[in-house]
Amino acid sequence: MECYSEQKVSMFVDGELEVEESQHLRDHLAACSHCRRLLDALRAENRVLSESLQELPEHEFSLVGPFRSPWSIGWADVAVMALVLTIGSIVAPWIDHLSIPEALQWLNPMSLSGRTNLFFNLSYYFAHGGAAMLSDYAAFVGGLLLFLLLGGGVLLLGRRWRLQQPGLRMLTVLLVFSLPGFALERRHSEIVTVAARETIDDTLLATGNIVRVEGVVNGDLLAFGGTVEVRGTVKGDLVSFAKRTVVSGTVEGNIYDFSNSLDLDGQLGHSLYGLMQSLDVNDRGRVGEGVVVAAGDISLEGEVVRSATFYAGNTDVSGTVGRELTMAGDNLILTNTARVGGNLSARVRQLKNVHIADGATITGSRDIQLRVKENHFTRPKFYFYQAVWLAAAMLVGWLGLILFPGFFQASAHAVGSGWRSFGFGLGVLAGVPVAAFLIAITLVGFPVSLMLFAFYLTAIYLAKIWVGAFLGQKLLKPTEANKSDWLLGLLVGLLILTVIGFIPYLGGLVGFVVVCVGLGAFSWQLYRVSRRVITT
Amino acid sequence: MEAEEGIAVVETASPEPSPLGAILSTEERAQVRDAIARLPENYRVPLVLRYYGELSYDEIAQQMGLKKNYVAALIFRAKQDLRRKLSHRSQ
Repeated sequence: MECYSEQKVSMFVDGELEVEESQHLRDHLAACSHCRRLLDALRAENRVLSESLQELPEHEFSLVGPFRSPWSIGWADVAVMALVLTIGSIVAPWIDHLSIPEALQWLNPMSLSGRTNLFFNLSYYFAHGGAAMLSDYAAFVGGLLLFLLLGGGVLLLGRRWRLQQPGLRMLTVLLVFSLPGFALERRHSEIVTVAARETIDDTLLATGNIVRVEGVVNGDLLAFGGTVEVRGTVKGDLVSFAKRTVVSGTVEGNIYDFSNSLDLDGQLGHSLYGLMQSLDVNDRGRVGEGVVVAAGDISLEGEVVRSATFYAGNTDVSGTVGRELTMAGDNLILTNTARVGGNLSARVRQLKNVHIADGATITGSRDIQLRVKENHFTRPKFYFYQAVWLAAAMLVGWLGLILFPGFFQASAHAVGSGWRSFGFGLGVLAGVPVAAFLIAITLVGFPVSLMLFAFYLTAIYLAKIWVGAFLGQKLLKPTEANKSDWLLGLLVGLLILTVIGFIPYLGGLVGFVVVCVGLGAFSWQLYRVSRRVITT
Repeated sequence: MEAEEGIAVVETASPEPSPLGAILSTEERAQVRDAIARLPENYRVPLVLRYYGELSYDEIAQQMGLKKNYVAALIFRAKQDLRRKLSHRSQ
């Protein structure tokens, strides 16, 4: 007769075997001296355990760890959220004074000027969307909750599913972030037209082969299409993803353009930021503030009131730049009619590619430099930025450890699975943008898609932290699993990753693998947690 | 830190050791507690709930949101880990 496993005998000692199995084991024990000895040893062990723990003073109950009952109200979460909001609103003006490059400003979640950020603009949307928006939102959330209650209630009765904290948190965050989406008016058809006499009060999200605005959009215009034309007026920003974008009317805010080509014939109130193949600012075109654009070809015939920064293969300027003109690229041509109100600085590969006509007016200095590959290791700034990055990553690691201790450590631990994490991470890395795009074009999911994408970028950032923590743990092998050791491990791991990142080619490859593995570990952990949430 | 505190408390707080307590010296009990404190969280929690809180596997499973089988495996692995930790110490 085969002996029982140690785990089975251990469960027997704990009185956790089913009646039938217990009986079988008892029968076996009568005949097997080996199992009897095991049984005695395990009983003795249990006594030692109970004995040792018996004298555990009340305050040492922390040994049990931070497990909370699944349905406890997360007051701590509310407090943390409130704290983040408070700190955010205090720090926001200060951050605004930092000289973050303007092109990046709209990505800054705490920016007061950036109008596309979600978090701190809730108040803006509340103020402008008014009660109509709120009732829309309440109806949607109410419906969703009803659905969840009905569906969840049935399942809860069967005690088959349990929606626990992670799921609840995720849902809350998604709902909160989807809020601004309700200030959107959505239009989707082959040709989307805002007629000349029409006025749209909200932000307009338009997708279609041709998106044409002849009337007035009081909010922002978010346009995805083959051709996007603004002949009328957009009072907010224009965000355009299109093959061709033509602005012959007026955009009073900023333009963020990711098109194949952008023609600006009309008036732009603030600034233009973009990434495109070609940019034409025609002689009737006027940019009220600055321009920061990366493009293949740039032609400036009109006026830029403030400074212009171009990263371009070819830059032709025959119009006016009110202040500095900064350019990096291959060819720069300033014709006789060109006027630059400030300094001209250009970085090109060859000096003969710069043509400045004699008639061109440049008020400030001319600074033409050849672009040579500079070794960034010699610049002190470089080390400063690395240190800042490292400090920020440590801070994030520390916060994560405090807010979600189990999850953060488990994610770092899951990195150890190597290939599984890598494969999983690769899939997530490639799949999420596709999913975000698919969700976005269903229109209803636009805010969810934005949220998903933000989540994705955050996870990519965190990937390095988890891999770093894992690496540090492996190297230091701390005997005590406490927080300061974990953070020390994180520091060591991040330092190693940073140094490896400097190795040409290999560094990039390692970076890619790190992102994949970290992302995979995170997704795996998320999957495990969600499986725990949906226990059958 | 926890161990030192543990010893101090134990010496004052155990006036009448049980027969088995006499076999296991105060210091040994503190060592066991210390080793338990150093277990990873997912091992430590079910172990303490079982042998200090005297909960059944089912109750632990419910509290931690896990399946019973998984709790059994965790407790088993916790004991193995504990044995390893304690044998290292005695060497």
